[in-house]
Amino acid sequence: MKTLRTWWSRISSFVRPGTGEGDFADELQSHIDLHTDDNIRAGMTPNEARRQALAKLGGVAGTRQAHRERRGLPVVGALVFDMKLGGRMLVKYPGLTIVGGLAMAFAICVGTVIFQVLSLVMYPSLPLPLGDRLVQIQHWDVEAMSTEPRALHDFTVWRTSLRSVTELGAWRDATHNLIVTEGDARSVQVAEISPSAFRVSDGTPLMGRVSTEADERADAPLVAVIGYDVWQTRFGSDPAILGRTVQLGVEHVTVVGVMREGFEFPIAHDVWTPLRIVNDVHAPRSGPAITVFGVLAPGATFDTAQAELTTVGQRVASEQPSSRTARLRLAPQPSCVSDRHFLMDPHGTSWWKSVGLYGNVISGGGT
Amino acid sequence: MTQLEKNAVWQGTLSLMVLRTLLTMGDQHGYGIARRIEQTSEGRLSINYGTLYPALLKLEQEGLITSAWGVSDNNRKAKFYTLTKAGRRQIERDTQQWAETAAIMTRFLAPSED
Repeated sequence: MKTLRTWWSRISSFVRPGTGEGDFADELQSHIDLHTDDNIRAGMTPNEARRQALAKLGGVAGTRQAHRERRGLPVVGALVFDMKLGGRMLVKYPGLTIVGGLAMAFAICVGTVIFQVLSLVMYPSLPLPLGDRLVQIQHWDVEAMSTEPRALHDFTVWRTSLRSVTELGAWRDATHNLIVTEGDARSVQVAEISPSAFRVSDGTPLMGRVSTEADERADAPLVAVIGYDVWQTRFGSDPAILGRTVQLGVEHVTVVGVMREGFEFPIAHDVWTPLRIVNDVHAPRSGPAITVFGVLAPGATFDTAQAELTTVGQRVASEQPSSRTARLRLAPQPSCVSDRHFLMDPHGTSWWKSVGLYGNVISGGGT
Repeated sequence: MTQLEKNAVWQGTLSLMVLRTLLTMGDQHGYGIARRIEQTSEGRLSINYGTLYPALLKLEQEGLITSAWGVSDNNRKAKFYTLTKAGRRQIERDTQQWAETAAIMTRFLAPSED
């Protein structure tokens, strides 16, 4: 109750400034006069009596200030005063106001961009339903301090042995000429990619189907899924596109599906073909560069997946003694780090949106 | 006794001294209250008169005292402070609290019997 009453009093004084100021000035003058009278009665001269009274008071200005601070809301008052002063200065110097405003706007923009980029790098996550559980698996060459992308052989090992990472898939980038009719050859960006990519990226086709595990077999007919833009610009939105055979590079492929508009997973790709892996052909650390991805299994965490990868890597290394002298070594302390690859862009957005969105797990084993 | 010791007024004690002075003397102006406090302490306590007024204002804001302009004994216009009922209750509470505190401190500071 006392506190409430105090604040009410202070707010009232703040709203009606000056009412207490004059009253206290009178009171202070009365105090000095009373004290001076006493001092004169004690035998002092009038001047000395007044001087002593003022000295005992401790200064009129200081006393007034202390009383003023107790009477109102000094912090709010100072703030209001500063704002008034600031407003007057802004009006008085319009040029400086404009320059200052622009500088502040620029600083805010820069700060916002930096914050966004840092957020993307520090807390990578893809804008997908499984975005926060998508991981990349890669070898880390300790000596070269870089990744070893030739991992086709390792990919087949990981795909059969890993339990904490599911939907394991891989992809490689290629540029081929797409020849629709005689003389009409234009290059397209092709992703040779595992079928799981369509599942992790919410890749529902507009027409037909996406590739399946059966299409990955070496003896399976060559098929391709084309993007919406390719379907529109190269095939004139042909509704009978499915089943049509076209030349893609040196191969003839059958179009089995058209993706919905905007789908460009992993990065601005136009056409998707199955990634065919012939395990016997590729020895460890040979073959084309691929990117391996997967989804953390239910219940698995980044750390448990990393631990399993380390175990698998060490086991494979022990089974292949030659790998111990290889340039690619086991990472002694495998760790999870953020990746800066701009790998996934399912909505065809810019590099800025996809940079840093792809968490990875560094494989602790070299095979 | 050094000047520093003489000047020292414990935090929070000034308000109780003011209230108690008003209870004893009745309505009084700021200067009179200050002089009375010094007299009561028999010169061992010297307060800066300027510090008294924020304390008086605080007590007034809390509703423990009220103020009104009047005329002093030597015919000077002065603002007189009056103790309220809430102020009297506050004195009772504070006095009891101080008595307990003093008793506790006395026990602590008493010479050990060991």
